[in-house]
Amino acid sequence: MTQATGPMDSLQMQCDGELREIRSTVRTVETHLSALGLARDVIDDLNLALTEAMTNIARHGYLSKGGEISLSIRVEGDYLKCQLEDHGVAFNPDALGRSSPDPAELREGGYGWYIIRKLSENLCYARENGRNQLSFWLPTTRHSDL
Amino acid sequence: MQVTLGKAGEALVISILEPRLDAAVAITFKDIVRDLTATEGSPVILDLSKVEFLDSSGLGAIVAVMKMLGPERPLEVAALTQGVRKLFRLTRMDTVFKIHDRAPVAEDIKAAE
Repeated sequence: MTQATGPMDSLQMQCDGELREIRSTVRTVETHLSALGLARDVIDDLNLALTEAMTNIARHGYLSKGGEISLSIRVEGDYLKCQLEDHGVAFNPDALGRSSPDPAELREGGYGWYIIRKLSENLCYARENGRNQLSFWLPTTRHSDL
Repeated sequence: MQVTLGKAGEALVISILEPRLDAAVAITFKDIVRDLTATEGSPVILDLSKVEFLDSSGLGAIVAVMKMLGPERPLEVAALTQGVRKLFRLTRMDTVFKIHDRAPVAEDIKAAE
């Protein structure tokens, strides 16, 4: 995991798409944003959205074999703007997570995209030069209403 | 992963002493709980008071344990922290699990790691 220095309100990092490393990367993001004074529930939302997105990349993009994930987060207006890049298998999130899985089905997975969509706005995906680019915004002013 | 095992009346209480129950530990969690539930006691109550973060993989592991225990031995959850409660609400798993506000006072059986 590497972290670039920059202005306080933006953060760039690279990490390996491996579950333990994703964990420590999210921890670093959390520490950084706590220092900026962001509300606990906003940091919780980011923590969850990032973990879900990065776990998807590690499992489905890199097929659990590892590979670089670049992460950029910046605070802009009332949003945390997040961007993730990887060079794993292409995916298309358009059709994913549009509806809530039926809890009665007791599914053991398949909640990730639904959670990311529910927490974020402006979810965008592009495939360029063999890289997946995923971005989403998390509002910093919403209070725990979910 | 550290857990403790206790008994509260008829119930078996498993306390998860891990701040993150996520994809990195989901399989370990399932294995440990499978082993611990060899001890008698019903329902099985998962004390999540020390779990500050749960993701969909952690939730999937809890659902897997519920299914493994079967309908005769209900799995219940207790003492959800704010973020964990939110994930249960988001996925509507709060309609599936019985949720206790507090962990029951349990007599320790053993600690496992």
